[in-house]
Amino acid sequence: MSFFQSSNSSTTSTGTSATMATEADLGNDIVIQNPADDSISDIAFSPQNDFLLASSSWDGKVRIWDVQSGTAQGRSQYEHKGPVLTTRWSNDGSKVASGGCDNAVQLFDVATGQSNQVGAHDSAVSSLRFVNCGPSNTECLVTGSWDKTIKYWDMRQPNPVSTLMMPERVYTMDNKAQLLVVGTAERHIAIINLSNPGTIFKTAQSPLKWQTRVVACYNEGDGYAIGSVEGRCAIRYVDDEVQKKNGFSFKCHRMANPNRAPGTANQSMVYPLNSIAFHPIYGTFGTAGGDGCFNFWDKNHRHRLKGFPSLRASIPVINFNRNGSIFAYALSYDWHQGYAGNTPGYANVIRLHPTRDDEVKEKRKR
Amino acid sequence: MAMFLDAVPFDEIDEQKENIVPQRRGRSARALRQVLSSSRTEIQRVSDRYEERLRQVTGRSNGLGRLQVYTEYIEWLKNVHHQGAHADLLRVMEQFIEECNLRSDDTWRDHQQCLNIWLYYIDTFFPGSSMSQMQERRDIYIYMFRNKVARRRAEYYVEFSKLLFEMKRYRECGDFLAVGRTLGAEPRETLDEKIAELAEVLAENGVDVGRRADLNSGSDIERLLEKYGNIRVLDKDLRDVLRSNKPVVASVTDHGSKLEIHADGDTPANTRKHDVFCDDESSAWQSKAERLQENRLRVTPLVPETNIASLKQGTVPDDEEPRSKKLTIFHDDIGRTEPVYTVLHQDAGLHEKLDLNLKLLCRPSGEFSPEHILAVMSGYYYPKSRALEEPCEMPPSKKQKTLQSPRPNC
Repeated sequence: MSFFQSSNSSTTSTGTSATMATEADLGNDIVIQNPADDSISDIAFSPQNDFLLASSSWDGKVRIWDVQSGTAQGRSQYEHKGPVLTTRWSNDGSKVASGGCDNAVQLFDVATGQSNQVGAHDSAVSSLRFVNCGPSNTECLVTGSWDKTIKYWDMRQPNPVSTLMMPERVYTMDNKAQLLVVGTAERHIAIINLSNPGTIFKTAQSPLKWQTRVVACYNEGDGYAIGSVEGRCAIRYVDDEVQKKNGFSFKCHRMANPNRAPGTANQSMVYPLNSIAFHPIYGTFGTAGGDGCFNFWDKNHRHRLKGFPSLRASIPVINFNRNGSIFAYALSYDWHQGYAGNTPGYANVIRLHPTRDDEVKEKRKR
Repeated sequence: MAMFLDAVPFDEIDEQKENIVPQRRGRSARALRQVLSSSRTEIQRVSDRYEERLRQVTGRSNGLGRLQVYTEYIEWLKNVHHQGAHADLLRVMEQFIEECNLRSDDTWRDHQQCLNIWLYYIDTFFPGSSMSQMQERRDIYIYMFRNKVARRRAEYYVEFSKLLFEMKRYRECGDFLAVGRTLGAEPRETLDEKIAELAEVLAENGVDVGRRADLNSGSDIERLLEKYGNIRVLDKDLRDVLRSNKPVVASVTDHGSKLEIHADGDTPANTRKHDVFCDDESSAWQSKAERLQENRLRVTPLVPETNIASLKQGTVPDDEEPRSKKLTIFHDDIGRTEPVYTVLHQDAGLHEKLDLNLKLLCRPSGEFSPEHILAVMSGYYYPKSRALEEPCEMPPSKKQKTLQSPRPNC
């Protein structure tokens, strides 16, 4: 943590903090200018290193960055034959896997700098995770694709260990512990118990009215959050009883329309929720959206811990590092407005925000 | 003593001396004084008298009397309009020139007074030292030669050669002086002196005009004059204009047409040689206004609240179908007539403006994620089982390989 001016455990001098942060609170962020030639699609931190992260982008490349020194230094990069949509580190931090529009699943060895294709889908690979599945907790790679399947790869043979049909094209996927949640088109949610990875444990319809953008599992592995294109987030639990008791959904990433005509009703500007990431220690989570804002939330107490001002560019992806001391977020156009929103001057950066407890730690009720 | 009594007191014309344009041969102070001291009605009376004299001498066999009246009339007008070119002067001079052109005998054309009037006409109404203005003067000299005006007057060749020398047409200058001598222009000494002077000046300045053409016979002169005699009409050579007016001769392969038999000497019009140095009988002298009306751009200052032309008004056909659709008022930067955002109506009457292209993501054929849309539109992804049934946002030809163009630093 040498390069951050404020430590992870620091608090505000008064012991209390305002819910809304200002741009000054982002002054210590490390900015990686132009980290790619195209929009960033995913960010993943190494499970074994606080300052090593991988980023995938629409320019077809995966880049590995080291921010130990306080400035971002590129360590490695490898290429796909098309835009890369997802990337993750293996649990031991020795490999980086990625998938993209070339339908390929690539595995990059950080030590040797060699990449090879370990699998393929019939369509673009939209999401992947390293999971421990089966009775023996064997590490394997699970990939979800627009070909409506998820496949498990043991990374030693070209054929998948198992293929599971999904009700629709896989848009998003996440796992914690033995829980794997897959969000597909048409608002389907597939829940898989990795103890029995070959079958879908449960399918559900998203409680949100519009398209699912992202799912993210809780650290405990007992539930998941869903984000949709219309600025809503649903807190869901696998157990129906708990769901009834604790499940809820809330609005986020919206603001009052500043251009409201006099005499007309108040109107909210609503933006898609693009990414959700749970803090690995505190269990709180961050959300980011097309409004260029990110917020930290405490689902247990159902309130927002901290909101950050808009950075005037869409945030397609966020993530925490392994201990939650760094919060990474990208500013890139995410195509939510289609071609109309794609302007030449649109930002394309990765920013690393040093988190403080008053931002991400849940506040105990007194 | 009488001579002293007739002397013109200069004080009377001294006040006007700034307004008096000098002439090639000077002015008569007496005539000038008389004009300046005359009233307008008196001048008009004199003018009417000259017009009356011209009418009286019409039809007389002796044309020189009429030439004399013209000469006096123009001399008087020169003093009346001592400030230079004037419409009355122009009218009378062009009347004279036209009459000179129409006369069949050469008594007028070779007369010194006739030449004087022509030279005054050139000096007064075609001044200027630009190339186009000098070209205009040259055209008049050429016209005079073609119409045999002052062909036997050495002064004509001298004045013409001065102009050609000024135009740096040295060879043409020498050739015309030589033509004058060959044609027996008088006084011959004047021409000889001028030729010698020209040769001396050219030698001093190191100008080599090459071997002078032989002008021993009439055909040599004609050949030479054909070479120089061309004038420009509407910025085209007269030769080209005449050639373009040549009637189309029937093709020899046109066997269907009757062969026309005509008598010898009855030369068909289309076989006649176009001689740029011989005017047709119909070609008469054109006034200055006529000569320039097509050869120059008319420069007219714009006057406010003046209608210089009427615009042609279009009419809407009656059978055009009335517009049945409302005009769209939404237009964004790339010409869309519908907004990208979507307004959602909530139960409580609240409105949510969803900053998202829902029409792009939610289609009748199903929903598509933004990444899916972008991958298809970028040409990176070709769906097999589920085609995007509606046209993409961007035409396929505009596939963009990158999502964004080069970005500035944030």
